[in-house]
Amino acid sequence: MASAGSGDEKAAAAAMITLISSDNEKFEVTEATATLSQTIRHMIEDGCTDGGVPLPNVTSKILARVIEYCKKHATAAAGEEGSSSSFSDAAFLEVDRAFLEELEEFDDAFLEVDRATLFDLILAANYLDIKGLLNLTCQKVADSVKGKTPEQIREMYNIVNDLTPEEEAEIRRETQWAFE
Amino acid sequence: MASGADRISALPDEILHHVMSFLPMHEVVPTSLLARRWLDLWKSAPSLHVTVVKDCDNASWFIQYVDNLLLLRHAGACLDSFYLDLNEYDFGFKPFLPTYEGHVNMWFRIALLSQARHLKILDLQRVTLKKSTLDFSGCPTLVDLKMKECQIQGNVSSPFLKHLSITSCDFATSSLRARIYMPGLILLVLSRFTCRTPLLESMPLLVSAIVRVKDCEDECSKSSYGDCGDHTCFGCYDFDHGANDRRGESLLLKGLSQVTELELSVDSTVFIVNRDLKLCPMFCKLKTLFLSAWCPGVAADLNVLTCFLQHSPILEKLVLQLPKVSKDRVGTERSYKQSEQSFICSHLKIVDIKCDEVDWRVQKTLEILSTYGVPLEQVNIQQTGMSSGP
Repeated sequence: MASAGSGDEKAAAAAMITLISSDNEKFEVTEATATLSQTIRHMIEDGCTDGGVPLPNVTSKILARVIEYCKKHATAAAGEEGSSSSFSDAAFLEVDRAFLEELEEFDDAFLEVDRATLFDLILAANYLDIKGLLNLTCQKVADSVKGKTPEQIREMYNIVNDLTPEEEAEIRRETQWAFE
Repeated sequence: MASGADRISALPDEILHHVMSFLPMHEVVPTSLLARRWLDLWKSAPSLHVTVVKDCDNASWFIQYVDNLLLLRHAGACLDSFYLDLNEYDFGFKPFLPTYEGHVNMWFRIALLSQARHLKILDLQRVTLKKSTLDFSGCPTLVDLKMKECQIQGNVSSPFLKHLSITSCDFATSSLRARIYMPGLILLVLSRFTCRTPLLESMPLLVSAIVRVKDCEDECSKSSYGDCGDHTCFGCYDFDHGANDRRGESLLLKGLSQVTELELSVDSTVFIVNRDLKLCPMFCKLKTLFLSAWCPGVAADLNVLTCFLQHSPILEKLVLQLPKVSKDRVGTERSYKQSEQSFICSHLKIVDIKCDEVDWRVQKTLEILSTYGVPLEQVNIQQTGMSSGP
């Protein structure tokens, strides 16, 4: 595995896949970009991508963003797999610091979206099984509720409190140990 | 701004659990007050991330809190990850640890019971590991083990492990060296341990390895091989602390011999690698060698380079990273013998020299490489200093 030649990688990168959004827009992407999605990777492995891959759960607007993410990250993933060094804690061999920083900046800018888009991206990342994108977007939601009271979170995300005052009091009693 | 729809509560449980996995549990539990949808969600979260709570210094409260987190979970809910962070900066739990050691051990026991048969990753920091706990052969699913700043009191073994990372650990094994028996290992990081160098057993499947040796007890300013002759020398002769164990055996290099890519960094006073070089095996699969903190003026480092060039028949890429500050030369300079026999590294295509600035050391390195028959047009010099180049 580790010795897979760069020739093979180039051949794989040249193969194109067509993705079709729910509103029937077609996107041509390289296989290296598409296979960041485990869902699509499995489809390719099963040989059922001829004539395009329909993605009935993803709109063209969101798919365009997802592809943007995958394109940027595909280069990073290719480097990692090619050298088979998945050390997370080391400035090892091929790891290019400048590129990692650039990637981080890209991610930060990528997350500058409204809430509705963020949730659409989460659902798309989940459906397409793109681990990096799912982590990125879920982390963003987690960060947004950090240090907030339940009231603040409800307001932020339009959550309607359907608990009766009695139920709420009971939960408070039950989880009292969690509040010092 | 946002429309009135409650998008977050509409997410499936698994995604909400994933969001929760990025939050410490003291932020997660209060979400049960949001709405009925959230009431019991935390009780089945597959990931428990427990940190000390900022500005809280009540140890007995904390103990009860973690107890409840574990005990109030839904029966049968899978626990994929249990992360306990007793960070001293927020709250000094450490002084209470001896008192509550039994409790903390019990948390891990409960966590393991929820998922013992599927335990894949174990990440230990600042933990004292007794002999009996270091045999992981009873955990066939455990493939990834990380130990950082731990005290390792015995041999570490598992036939199943694939990734092992040991960083800044202390091999406290008194008169015997620790043995690392991991025949299935693919990835190894052994970085900056204290006490004696452990023995790496054969690892036929090893692909990548990082080995950094610095500040361990196997050092002597006078001898290249740990036999300076001065019997009061701790590094060479303190037999109670392992100096004599495995003498005459290759400790690190033999176990690493099947590796494809290797990063090696050795401090100039440490004699163990120099001693290993005498018994240097062939690195038949080695394609990429990264010598970090490599110094052309230090004989020990020259030995390392020569030896690898001679014993790596298919080496394709060599990276030499010169340290920011020159290494100290050892009191009596280690012996360095240039090889009489000429050899050609026919597969060597790329040589990178990484340095802060192009100085005499780079010149020296180029000279050395050319004496080894490396064509200088294959050498790239990468300046990593102040310049803002690509």
